[in-house]
Amino acid sequence: MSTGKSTSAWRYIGQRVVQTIIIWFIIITLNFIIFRVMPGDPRQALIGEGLSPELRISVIERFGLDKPMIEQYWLYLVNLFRGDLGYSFSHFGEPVIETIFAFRFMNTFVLMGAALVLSIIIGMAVGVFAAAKRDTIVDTGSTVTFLIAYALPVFWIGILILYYMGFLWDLLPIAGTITRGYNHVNIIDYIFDYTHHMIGPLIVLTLSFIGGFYLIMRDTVLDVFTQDYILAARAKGLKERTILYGHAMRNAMLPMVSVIAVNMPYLISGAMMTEYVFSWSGLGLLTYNAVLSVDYPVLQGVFLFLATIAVLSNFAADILYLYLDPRIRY
Amino acid sequence: MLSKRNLCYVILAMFMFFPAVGIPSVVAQDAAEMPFVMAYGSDIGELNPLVWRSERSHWYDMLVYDSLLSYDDDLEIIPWLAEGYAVSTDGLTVNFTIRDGATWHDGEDLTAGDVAFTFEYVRDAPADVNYWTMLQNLTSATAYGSVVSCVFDQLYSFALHNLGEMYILPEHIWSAYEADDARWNDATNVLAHTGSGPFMYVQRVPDEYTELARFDDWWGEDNPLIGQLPNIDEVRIDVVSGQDARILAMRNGEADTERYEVFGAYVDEILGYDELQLVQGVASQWDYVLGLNNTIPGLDDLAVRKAIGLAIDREELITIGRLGHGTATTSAIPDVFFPSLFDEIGVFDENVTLANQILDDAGYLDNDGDGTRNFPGTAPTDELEFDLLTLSWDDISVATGIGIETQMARINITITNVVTDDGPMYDAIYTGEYDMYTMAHGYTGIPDYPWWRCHSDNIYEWGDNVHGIDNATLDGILDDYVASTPATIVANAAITAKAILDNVPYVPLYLSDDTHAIRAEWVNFTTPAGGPFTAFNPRTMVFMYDDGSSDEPVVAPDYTLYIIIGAGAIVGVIIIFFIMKKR
Amino acid sequence: MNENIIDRKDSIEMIPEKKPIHLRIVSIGAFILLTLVLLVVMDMLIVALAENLAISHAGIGGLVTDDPVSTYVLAIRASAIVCLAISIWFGLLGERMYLHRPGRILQKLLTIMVCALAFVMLGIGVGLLLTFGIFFWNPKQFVDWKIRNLKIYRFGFVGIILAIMLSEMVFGQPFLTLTLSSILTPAGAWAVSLFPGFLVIPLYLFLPKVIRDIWNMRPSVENFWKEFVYHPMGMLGLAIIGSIVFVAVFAPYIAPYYWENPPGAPINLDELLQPPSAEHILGTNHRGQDIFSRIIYGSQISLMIGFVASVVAVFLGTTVGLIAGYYGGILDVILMRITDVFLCLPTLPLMLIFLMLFGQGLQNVIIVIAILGWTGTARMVRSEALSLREQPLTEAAHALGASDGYILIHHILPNTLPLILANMILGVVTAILSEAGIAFLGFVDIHGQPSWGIVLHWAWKNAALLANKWWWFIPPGVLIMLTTLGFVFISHTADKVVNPRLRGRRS
Repeated sequence: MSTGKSTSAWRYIGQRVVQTIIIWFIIITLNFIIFRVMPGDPRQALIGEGLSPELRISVIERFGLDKPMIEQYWLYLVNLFRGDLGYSFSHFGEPVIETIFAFRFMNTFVLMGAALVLSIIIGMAVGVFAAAKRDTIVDTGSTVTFLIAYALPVFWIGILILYYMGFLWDLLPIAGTITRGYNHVNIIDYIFDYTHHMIGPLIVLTLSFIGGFYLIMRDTVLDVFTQDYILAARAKGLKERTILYGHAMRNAMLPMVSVIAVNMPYLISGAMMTEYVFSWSGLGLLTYNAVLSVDYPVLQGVFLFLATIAVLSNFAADILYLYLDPRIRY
Repeated sequence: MLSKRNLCYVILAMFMFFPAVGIPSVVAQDAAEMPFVMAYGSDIGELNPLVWRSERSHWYDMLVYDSLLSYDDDLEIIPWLAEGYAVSTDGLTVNFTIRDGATWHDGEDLTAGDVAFTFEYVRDAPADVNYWTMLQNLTSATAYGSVVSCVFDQLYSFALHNLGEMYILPEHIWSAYEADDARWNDATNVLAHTGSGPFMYVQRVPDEYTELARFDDWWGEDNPLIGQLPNIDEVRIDVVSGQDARILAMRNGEADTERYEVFGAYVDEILGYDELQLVQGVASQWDYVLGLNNTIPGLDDLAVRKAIGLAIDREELITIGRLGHGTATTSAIPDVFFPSLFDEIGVFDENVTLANQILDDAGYLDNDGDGTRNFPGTAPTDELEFDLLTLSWDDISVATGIGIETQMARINITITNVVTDDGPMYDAIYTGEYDMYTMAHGYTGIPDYPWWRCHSDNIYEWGDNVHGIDNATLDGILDDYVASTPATIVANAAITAKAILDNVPYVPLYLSDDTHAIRAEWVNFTTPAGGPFTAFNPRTMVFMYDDGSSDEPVVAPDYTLYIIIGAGAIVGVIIIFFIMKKR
Repeated sequence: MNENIIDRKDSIEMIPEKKPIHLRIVSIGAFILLTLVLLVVMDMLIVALAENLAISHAGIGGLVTDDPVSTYVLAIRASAIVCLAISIWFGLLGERMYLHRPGRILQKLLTIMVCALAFVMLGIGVGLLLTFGIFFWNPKQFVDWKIRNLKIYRFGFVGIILAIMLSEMVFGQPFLTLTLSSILTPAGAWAVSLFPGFLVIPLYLFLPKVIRDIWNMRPSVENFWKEFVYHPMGMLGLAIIGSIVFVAVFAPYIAPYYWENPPGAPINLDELLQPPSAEHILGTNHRGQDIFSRIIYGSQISLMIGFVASVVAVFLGTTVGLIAGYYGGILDVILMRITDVFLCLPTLPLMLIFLMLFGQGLQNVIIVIAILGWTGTARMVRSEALSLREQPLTEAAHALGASDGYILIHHILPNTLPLILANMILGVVTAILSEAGIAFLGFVDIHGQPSWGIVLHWAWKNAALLANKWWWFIPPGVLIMLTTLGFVFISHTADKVVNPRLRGRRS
């Protein structure tokens, strides 16, 4: 029985691997097509700046945009597998790989990671608590609070924080990830400074994530409460707290994992507004600027990267599910 | 006592209060004597002075590198790194005398050899380097002592301007590298950003800031037109995305100016703040024109174009579009910038009666009585109506379009304002599928914009040209203008200006006034009154000094919002209370 | 204790005479609302088809705005309304007759209609014909077929669709939207090319059946409402949404001014950027327009984008999910891979790029939000359909010889309905928030009728934040928040009502 299960599990994993690779190929092709059917061309980015027409022709040639479409696609694929995403239009001579990964990815990653961790911890803790105190004023109050957080428009709360906390009350810096022009004494100093700048965007992002996590947690724990093993645990006379955080919460983690994995691309691109408002130099701000300046290679690179992450996290979620939930059918 | 759980709580609490702990440490700053911070919407694109692609990068280049020549308030040439210049009478040889005592930031002397190297280096660089095309006609650049002699094989009337605008590069650093080498943009390599300008590169964190420090050995003190070093000892270029955020940063004292002009409501706001001032009055680098497609039926008739040109009330457009902060211009070569090249003949001054008269005489009558003129001919002919493209995100362009729409109604021509986006707008202009458009064009110190807008040979893929005219006579006149010798350039410019106005390929509307916001402590200039530096030239900013009149930001408290929020909260609590009670 | 009270009330209400008035209002109101929406959507479909037909009849690229064409469209619409009246008569009053003989006629008509579609949209029509031929025409023949035959047919269908798309890419011919009529008309067969015009009309014949189904849904609506009424949160949400919808519908009567200045004076120079006063409750903006009125009118756009985008997204998602979940096999694999691809695309940046690509019209905003928002629904509906397919009831229906289409519509769809509705409500929230975001960044038509996001965009662009003009940037944000909050409240409560496990052990 066990060997039968493991072979079919491997077959399932193998299927998923093949599917994942196919999806990834479709996405990289889409990624190429989307940016070729865009109207206009990179000359747009240069037109307002008083550069001569001849210069524009040379720019087109440098980026190979005068070649036939099929050839461009082939070059794109070949370069992709060499790890070469081309060069940015608006950051002259900078490889896109560097544009994305040099520091912007790290900034986004830290911000998103912190916001995720914070919102998951708070959302889960309060969610379990609320589920335990179902239909009391605590439950209703926290549910309403988190539903309000869920309903907030991110950018709006961002500019409010920027104006009131950043300017009027002078609590937070207005822009950036570090104090500009300040030479940090040591790494601790740097981390403090960085964190101080992160508070604003962190509040906004946490607010926007937390509602979802809270609701999922609360609902799943309510669901779990109706299961027999919780009744059994109660009957055994276990402490309520142990039941709550030991049994109920652990079992409620499962849907959380899949929700986080499936929403990965949204979580990353959702930071765009926040990053724009707080000038947080991450992938979101990069994307926004690239959209404005029609910087295809950068957009292509960012999209590819985000899509790859999404594909991988979906795959990981499937595998994780297989591991976590023995009941799963494949 | 210290159970595992409690330990977890402590760690969690530390994590949560971690940000709060960080606040006091940020206060300590290594204060420069006079730091000057410019806030930019996005980061400098490239540090490489050969390929600047945006005005942001151009700003940086102007501070770190020197050019041979510069421009004064009237955009007349003044010597800069070059002590003097001479153009031969046939216009094919340009000589520069390089200033003595100029040094590079790394201490090496700047010689005429460096200048000659720069010109030949750019000439032999890849084709997408700035000024490459112009330099393809450079036969040789040779240094004789402190004189650099540049010989061309073809006449180009702005050869002096172009050579004078190029940034001079140190031969000892770049002779072994290509013009598109990655080293140019290496933020950690200070040596790779050695220039000779008033500021030297210190450090840069991409997407955050770029820091420059005053170069104390700069030659500026010896130049009679400058006579001093910049007062500012540190320039920092910060990235702050939103315009609101930038101005908040300025009011906070985190920034001193922003790169972009402020428009509309911002102008009024900034005038109302004690701590901010508006740099006003000097015409800046944008001009708004009404572009006409001369191949469209109706617009292919000179009478219609002239009538349109005559029916425009520029002052009203300035009020509508820029709340009054603009300078009306009526000529292809505005006298504000180019007094010596400006010619009055053919200029369009507002005259609605004359415009109506011209249309009546040409047979454009309202023969169906619907308030819009019709094409000449018997009864049901087409209406005289055009689509005007304006740029959606550019409120000035849209408002100007609205203004033109109302003004053209005075001569019974119907204009439909089509608000569009960059992509479709440029597409329409490239393919010639448009009637009219209104948007801003950038300026350079060279009055070549009439040239590249109207010259049919010069526009890539744009059909005949951007305005849809292919007038052999006009082309001939423009050719002569572009290839003028120094002796004939003023006369040729006047002929060109007149030819353009006679053909009316576009109607000049207004130049946008400079409306830069700047912190109050920076508004004085130490250079001679009315000095050589315009707001057009970013170097201006760095010669300012602190007159001690800076004020702390005073914000009048406005409690209305707080009262409303408080009231809302109370109401909310009451509602919740009732709901709970009911259950 | 609460539960007891409610329980007692429940039992009291079992007695039919004591049905409270609000129950009637809600159930009949829901019926009328749904029916109206259905009629409007159907009418829009008819008009779209008729216009397409008119264009194809006038030849490729003909203008719809020309007068004779719109008369033509009007004529089709009018005759369709007559048909509707007749069929409603049949459907509601002559129920039994409608069920038997005319039911067959309806089926035949539908069949011919699908064929007629080929005249309007050749590519899609051919695809539909094939689908019809393979899946719906006569399901009984499947009994004799071996699995291999089935597979050949299904692959063939997919292959043809792919071939059509490929030929479009290679030859550059718009084959998918090419019309047969546009080929027939120049060939002189204009009479033949017109024939589908009279066949799109019977689409309306379909409606009475659906309307009757909605009418029969009243008991479940009433049951739902009985439970819903006791959740103050849900009622609060309903009140919020109700009042905002009221404001949106009656905007012209509530707003003191129009959302833009009169045509003659697009910019009101005398009243620029005024603070709040008796004349302008929330001041005026940079064009001298009344901000309060703009916000009132803004509710129309925001709500419309929210509703329509969500409905389109959910429709797409449901269709894909049902087909994939029910039929399984290669169709499932393909559809689910497409879903996965969409799921992996970064939403917000792609919206901005699509809007740059397609232009910024209202319909484009809706399409963009819908196209990137259907995947969640598709996945959920698919898994629901998968599990429903395995249920004994479905198998029994199969055994009784019910067709796939019948099972899909009568067994599986009703059971996934709560899920679909929940997704729709949450979809509205996402759509409104997305629209506000992209409008704030200025990627929609910012010069047209404003949404709340557009009001915020102009506030942001005109130094409202800087000048602390809270009357400009606070109210739109609060309204966005209230609207989404209302929907979230409703969805949360509905979830409680529909999903009894969350409600607690009561019965």
